[in-house]
Amino acid sequence: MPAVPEPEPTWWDRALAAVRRIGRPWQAAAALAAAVAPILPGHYSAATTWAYVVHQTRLDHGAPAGYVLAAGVLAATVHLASRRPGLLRLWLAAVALVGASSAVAWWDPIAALTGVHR
Amino acid sequence: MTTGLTLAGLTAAAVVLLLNLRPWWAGSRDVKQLAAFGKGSALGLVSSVCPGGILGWAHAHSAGAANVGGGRLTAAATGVQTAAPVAHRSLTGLTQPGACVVVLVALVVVLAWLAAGKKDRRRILGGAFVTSVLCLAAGVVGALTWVPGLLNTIGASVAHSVGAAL
Repeated sequence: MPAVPEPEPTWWDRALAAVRRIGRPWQAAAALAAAVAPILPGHYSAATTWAYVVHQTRLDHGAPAGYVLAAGVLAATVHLASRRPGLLRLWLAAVALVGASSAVAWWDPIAALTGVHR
Repeated sequence: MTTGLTLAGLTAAAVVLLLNLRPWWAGSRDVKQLAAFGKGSALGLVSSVCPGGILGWAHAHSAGAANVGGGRLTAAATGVQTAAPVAHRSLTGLTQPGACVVVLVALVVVLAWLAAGKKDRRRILGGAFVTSVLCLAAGVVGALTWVPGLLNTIGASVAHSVGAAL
């Protein structure tokens, strides 16, 4: 009887494995929750504050600067968190991840292709 | 820095155009056989409308490749240097809805290129090259000034019908 081949891991399996590499799932969830928790004065969270900084960089210095800042900080924090996992480092990565979303605008790929700006 | 189109570059475009059209004309003259070349031409046309970006960059730099290739060809074949410049003009006036249409057209052509075989891929590339180079010449551009307006109108009417505020 031929051996049944292992099924290919789905993208969900891969994502879970990636999360497990940098920490336990509850740690990742706690880090995400702490990143968006309104802990700063004025009910701002660390993630929204970082998102504001990224967005302001984008406005002042152009879209590429926003992408570079967000991606650079995200890469650095993810590198830190995956090298030596810890709740603080996971929190930093979560803040960078949520904040990076404000560097992205849906018009960017169209502008990059055609040169027509909004 | 954009190099201007020379007579040699125009010759290179004409050579590629003839290489594609002559077998078709001498053969069965089936319009379907020109589909691949036509798709490439569509990409070349929409990229010549772009004021910048990746497509606009490729369009502006197609002149350089055409000049070098055509210059070598004419110099080797006839011994005459053909560096006489061709008057330059560009298609202008692409708006945001038009840019969306350009992106969709480019996407369709790229998908066709991915699905095509080796020969059709070369035909698509050839069509894009020929149209892109020809659209650097003032005379051709003068005959095609309606293209940006058409793209804008298509994009604006679709965006308007779905209620998008561009």
